[in-house]
Amino acid sequence: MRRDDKLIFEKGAEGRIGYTFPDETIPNYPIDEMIPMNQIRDHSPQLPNCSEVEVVRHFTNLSRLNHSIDSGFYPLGSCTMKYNPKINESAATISGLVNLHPYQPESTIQGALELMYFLQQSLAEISGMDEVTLQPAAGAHGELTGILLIRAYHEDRGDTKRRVVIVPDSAHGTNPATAAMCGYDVKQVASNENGRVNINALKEMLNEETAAIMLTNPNTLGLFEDDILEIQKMAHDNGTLLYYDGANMNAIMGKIRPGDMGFDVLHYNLHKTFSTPHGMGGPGSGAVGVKAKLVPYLPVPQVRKAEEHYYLDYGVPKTIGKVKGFYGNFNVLIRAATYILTMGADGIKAASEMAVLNANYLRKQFVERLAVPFGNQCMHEFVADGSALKKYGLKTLDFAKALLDYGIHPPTIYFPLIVHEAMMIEPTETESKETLDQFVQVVDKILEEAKSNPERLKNAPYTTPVRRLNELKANKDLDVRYKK
Amino acid sequence: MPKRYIPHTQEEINEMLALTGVKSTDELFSELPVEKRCTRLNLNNGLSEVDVMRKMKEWAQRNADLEDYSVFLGGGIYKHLIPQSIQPLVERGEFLTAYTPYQAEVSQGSLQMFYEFQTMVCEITGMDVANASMYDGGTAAAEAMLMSCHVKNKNHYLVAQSIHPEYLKIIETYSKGPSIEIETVQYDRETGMIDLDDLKQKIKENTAGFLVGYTNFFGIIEDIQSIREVTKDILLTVSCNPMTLGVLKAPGEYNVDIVTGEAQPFGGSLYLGGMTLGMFATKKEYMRKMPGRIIGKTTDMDGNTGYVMVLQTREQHIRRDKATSNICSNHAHNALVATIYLSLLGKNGLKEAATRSLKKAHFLAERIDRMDRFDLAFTGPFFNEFTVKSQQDPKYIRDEMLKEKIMGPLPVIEVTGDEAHENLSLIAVTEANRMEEISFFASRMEELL
Repeated sequence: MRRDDKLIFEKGAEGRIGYTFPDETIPNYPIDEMIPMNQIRDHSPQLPNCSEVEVVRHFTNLSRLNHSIDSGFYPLGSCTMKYNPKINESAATISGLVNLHPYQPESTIQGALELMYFLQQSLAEISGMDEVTLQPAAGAHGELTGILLIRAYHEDRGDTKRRVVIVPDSAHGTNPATAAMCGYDVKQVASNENGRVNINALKEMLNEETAAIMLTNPNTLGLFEDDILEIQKMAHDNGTLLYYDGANMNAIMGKIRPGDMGFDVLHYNLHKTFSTPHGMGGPGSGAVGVKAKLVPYLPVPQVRKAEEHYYLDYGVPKTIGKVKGFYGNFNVLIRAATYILTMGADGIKAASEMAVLNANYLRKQFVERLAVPFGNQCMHEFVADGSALKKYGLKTLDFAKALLDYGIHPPTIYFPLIVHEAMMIEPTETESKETLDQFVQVVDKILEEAKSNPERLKNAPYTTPVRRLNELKANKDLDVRYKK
Repeated sequence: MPKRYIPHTQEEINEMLALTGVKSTDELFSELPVEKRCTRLNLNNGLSEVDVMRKMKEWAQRNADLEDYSVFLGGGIYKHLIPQSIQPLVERGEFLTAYTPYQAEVSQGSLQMFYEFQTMVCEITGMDVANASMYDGGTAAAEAMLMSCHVKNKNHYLVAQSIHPEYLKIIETYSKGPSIEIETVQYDRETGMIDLDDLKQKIKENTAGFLVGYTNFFGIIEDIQSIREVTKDILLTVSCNPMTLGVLKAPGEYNVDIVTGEAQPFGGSLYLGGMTLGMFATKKEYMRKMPGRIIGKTTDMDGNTGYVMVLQTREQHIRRDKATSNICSNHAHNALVATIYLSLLGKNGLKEAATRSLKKAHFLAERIDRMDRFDLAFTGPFFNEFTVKSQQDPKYIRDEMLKEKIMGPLPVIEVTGDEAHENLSLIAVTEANRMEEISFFASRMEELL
């Protein structure tokens, strides 16, 4: 079937509409008696004029151009593209959870507050932290919150020299971006030959100016930072706080807790680890957990319990203020709470165990077929190196694009930056052995084709709704909105 | 363990362990320090589907479900009519369970939708370019503050005291990192509009910009033209409720520099204020300083039209500590909701929803203003939300109304914390309030003792 590439603006006809307002008699005040004449809009925004069926078909057809977890395997490293259970959606459409206004009296939202309290407590337990705020909207937003908490902590102690945040060279881009946004200078610590933080280098960098170290553990290579206890001691002896990027929490739930490893603050990505849908890029939730020493600085309000009722506590003495309006992405929180209720303690632990097993099962087969630069085993993901494709004149990008023709979403590519032709593969626990085996078969077919017919791969994909797109042109002749 | 999400049979686990070359899954965790490993997490036991739904419904039943109430509560989140055709479309797994469109060839559905969303935001705000969404109106305003200071390379920023108080708090939080000094500009206590003299006086050598609500927290329509005249040398940001722009002049027509806003009114459910959609639009000349994802049109190798993310060199995954913002995840799915909403309503429908809200609000305001014990708190023009001054305690009014299954008005002091607001109530009216509800609300107000 040929793709209908018309925009919604190019469909419909003047005078059509996709919605019917109630028939009622409304007092017919002239607009210019309510609003000053010069502030009334004299030409309408050019929005579509479509019937309901035109709109439904347009968006249904658009949806069919997307790859999604519901339609196929999605081993996108660092993004934890696990199955998003349908019951989460059912729970998130219960009217008594949907139709609540943020400024309703507390007495009329006791159930919602209890749900949030349950989630705060559960997340604190899973991470080994003392308290959790649900306010941040996304992982990067959680990072911003966490680093501002660290800043507030140091400043409150009169420790104003600390203006540096250290991140590993394998860190997610959001880590340095966040630290910079919070007013810190960012220093990068190199990885060692084992793909872990080089602790000698770290030791040299640590001084009275170091406010925090941001770590992902397991790191973005999927490797557990096995010197973590030494790192935490070095940091704390130096008065430096330890930040945990929770993007890779799916590797360790029920096995070890960041709080017990010595981390002072962490952010979760509820849209990764706790199965809430990614929705094409959001909304997510970046809940932040902290140790007791950072509790006085948490954003307001915190959901707290007094005897038998729940309340929004604005009395956090040294709060950093607010990072988002109201109380966080409640529609995401409902889904995460649903997931925890479903999984329970054993299910959550099993999820991490099977996520790690799936990754190691694939890793072993990638070692045999391409190369996996660091370590002998991995946690929930691993990074393969596609440099072996070079001998056929191909790159990791070509390999990734070829996967698309088999209905498989490619891994995260060219990240982390410390592996040249990186492909970061995270299968997650919800994929079956057959799916992983089929993936390996596809990899074999592509590698076979790389040898026999590399030219063909350079132009892959062939069967997707569009083929490789001209990004150079997109950035040169910037066209970022439709004009008639 | 919930087998339905974790498909491994014991036999498969054994085969996989064998191929991996380890004896047990525990061996895969051998690098974890033994002394710090977990004992069993102190969480609930996993529940079956029916028991999970029972628990969720129990929580739901302990809330006042506004589906059953007349809602006159606003303050940044509004109950508007939501077309039934939105939910089945947005629940499609192809939208819901897709990630950020990094692989454009299999993400054209998301990408084309974002391009359409950006176009709609530009049309409604009258600006040149828009991004593919921010978290909410408050964080979009805070990003506008950061961008203004960045563009101007200055570190003093002015914010209207009459902006949504939560937005001001977010702006203050975001200002801490780069040490930007935030100063508020007073509103005229009579009109509720910006005190232009105070604004003029507070613009200093190192002032980067000014941010004002349109409408402001009290529901008042600010005179953007006059504000623009006194802010010629700094960047002017307008934080709007985009629903009002179905009737009000687009901020772009006043030559403002940045428009932000909370687009929850475009098809978003209430969700305790947790289904928000930040809008961000600016002039073409500032596009490269704009935070967030931007989608552009291009062609594929066969010459067919397609869409990709553009100007990614502004973003954290490329620029790291030099990025314009750390934003990565945005509110894409809420942008889908708004795009479908605006497609269904179209230009006539948007104008209709806005006009109905406006007329109904003015109808109610007029009735309340005529009552002995109530007066409009400000003389400035308002849209669909207005502030009333009463002899009674606004909390008493709210509680009395609650007995009649009416939610609202909002005691202003609960949000502003300002003692001067102790007699003020904020009342929001939208096209979703039926005329008989409005008349009932007015009669209850009149009968309050």
